[in-house]
Amino acid sequence: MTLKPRPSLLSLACLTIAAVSLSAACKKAPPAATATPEPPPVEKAAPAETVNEQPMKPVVEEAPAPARAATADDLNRQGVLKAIYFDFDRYEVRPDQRPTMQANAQKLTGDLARFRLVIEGHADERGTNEYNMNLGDQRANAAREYLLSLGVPASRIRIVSYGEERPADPGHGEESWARNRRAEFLLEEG
Amino acid sequence: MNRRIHFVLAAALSVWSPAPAGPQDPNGPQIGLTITGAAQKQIPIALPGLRAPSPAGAEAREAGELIRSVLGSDLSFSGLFNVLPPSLYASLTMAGDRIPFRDFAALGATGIVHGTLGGGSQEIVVEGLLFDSKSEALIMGKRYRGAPSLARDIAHRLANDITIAYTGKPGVSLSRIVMVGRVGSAKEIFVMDYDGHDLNQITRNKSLNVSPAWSPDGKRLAFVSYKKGTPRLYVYNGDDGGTQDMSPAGSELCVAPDWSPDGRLIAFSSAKQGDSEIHVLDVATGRSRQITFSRGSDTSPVWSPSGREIAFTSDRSGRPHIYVMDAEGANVRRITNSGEFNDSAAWSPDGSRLAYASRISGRFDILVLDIGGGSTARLTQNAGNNESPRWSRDGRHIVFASNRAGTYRLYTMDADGNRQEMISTQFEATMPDWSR
Repeated sequence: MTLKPRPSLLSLACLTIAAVSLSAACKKAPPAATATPEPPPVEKAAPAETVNEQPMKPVVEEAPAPARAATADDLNRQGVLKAIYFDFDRYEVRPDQRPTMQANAQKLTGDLARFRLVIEGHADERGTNEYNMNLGDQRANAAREYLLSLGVPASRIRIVSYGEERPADPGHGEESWARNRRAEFLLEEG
Repeated sequence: MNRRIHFVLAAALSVWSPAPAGPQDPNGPQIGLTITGAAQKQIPIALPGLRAPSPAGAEAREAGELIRSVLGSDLSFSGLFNVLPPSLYASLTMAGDRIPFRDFAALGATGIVHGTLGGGSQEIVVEGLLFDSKSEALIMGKRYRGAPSLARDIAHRLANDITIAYTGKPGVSLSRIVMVGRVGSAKEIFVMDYDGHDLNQITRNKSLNVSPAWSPDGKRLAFVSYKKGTPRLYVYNGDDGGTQDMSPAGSELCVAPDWSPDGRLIAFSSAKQGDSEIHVLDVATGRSRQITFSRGSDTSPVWSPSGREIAFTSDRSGRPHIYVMDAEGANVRRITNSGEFNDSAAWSPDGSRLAYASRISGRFDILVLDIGGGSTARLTQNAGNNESPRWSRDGRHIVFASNRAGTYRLYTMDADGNRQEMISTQFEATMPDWSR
């Protein structure tokens, strides 16, 4: 009998890992939205201040920090858009979550209209991994449909399902699960 | 670059077979094994160890011990053999080439694995000989050469050759398991020998990498990665190390790939606007087409061993259940009728059974459905969640993920649920697939 070398998959893996990791400049997931006090109002940087900054340096130092346009990351960290929560194994937007959706939509069509939006769909750990991928996708889509009905343009929204892979709460009880069955709304630079 | 060294040496490993007297040899022992369930009788086998004809160096001695130990584990794990404890026959002396066959037979040993170990620190040469104690005939004999670092590989090959000698078919000793391992907050794809050794990390993109599936030839892996932000379908090719994005245009979610038995197609689940459907991808052309058309979740497709059917999970009836359809998508029929949540179907290699995960009282257990007879056996119970069952190539074992010990780890069990044992990994491990 002739020897069939064992599949060389593993052995070759090492050669390619560098390439894989280079190409995979993966974005770090933004931190989960947490309850924070009302975010500071978003203001555009005043160009006049910037112009004056060089010659009048001491004055500028004493003045309050010039307002800089908040980045998407800043706003996400501040939790400007609130997550909504779902019932077990369901993906319809619950009546008690509608006010949150309306508030989100208002910001997205107002102050935050310059950003793009990513809707993340999440599931608790109680389904199978792959089924939960679909459930997260269904939740993100339900939230998307809701925002569309409130006038947020479809072209600015993309969705991503994380299934059960990115829990907001690592616990294993009903309270944790309820916090993990969610859609999160994250801004991206337009 | 340990892996590269491993590869080069593995290629250099050579095998020589002296006088192949397989089961078909009319002069050999009459061996006919019918593999059916747990009641099958095990072959008592003795492993007196490898004899070093000349004073062997420390490395070669160590390799010899390792080979005997790995060989014993492989043969025990297979379930085909009853590996007799060495203490039973420690007093039997093997003078030169003479094997005290009658003494071994009196101890109940049917098979005797004898052999020699030669070579030095650069290369070891193992001659593995399998004898039948009653006929005193050589059933199988092979010579394996390779670096001492390949001792485990040599042992796995010897175990596989012994299994083939008795059953006519390869066992699992050369098989590998691919899985998802947690690294910090990332999930990466790892591959290891079926016994947990020789662990290799395939992806290192610090993103989420899930749902790995072996190609039938063991050279490629399909998996789902978030490395570009959304879950997309990739094929990793072990031959050239390349990773190719195979996602169909417009898909917002790809998940759960599975290769057709001929390795030409990949069935997977792809979602658009919250509606996931089963698609089939032609790997060579990159073209995929949709084969289910039902609102809701259609996911986790798996090909039957014949390639003619696909089992999958659908919630079209309200709850997730297992369905089977023709590979073209026609003739959909539901095949699980009880339970509130059934998913992760896996076809036994002979096509007669489907293993799947079923949620019972809030936790998942592994069930096996006899497709022809309609009966269902529950293989796990009262031991946390048990998910993602996948069969070994010989249909005698199932690998699955369980959190029975707290964190998710991989476990193997016999196809009847016996001998549930953890494959130790240093990290959380889920979503296994067992190479053919």
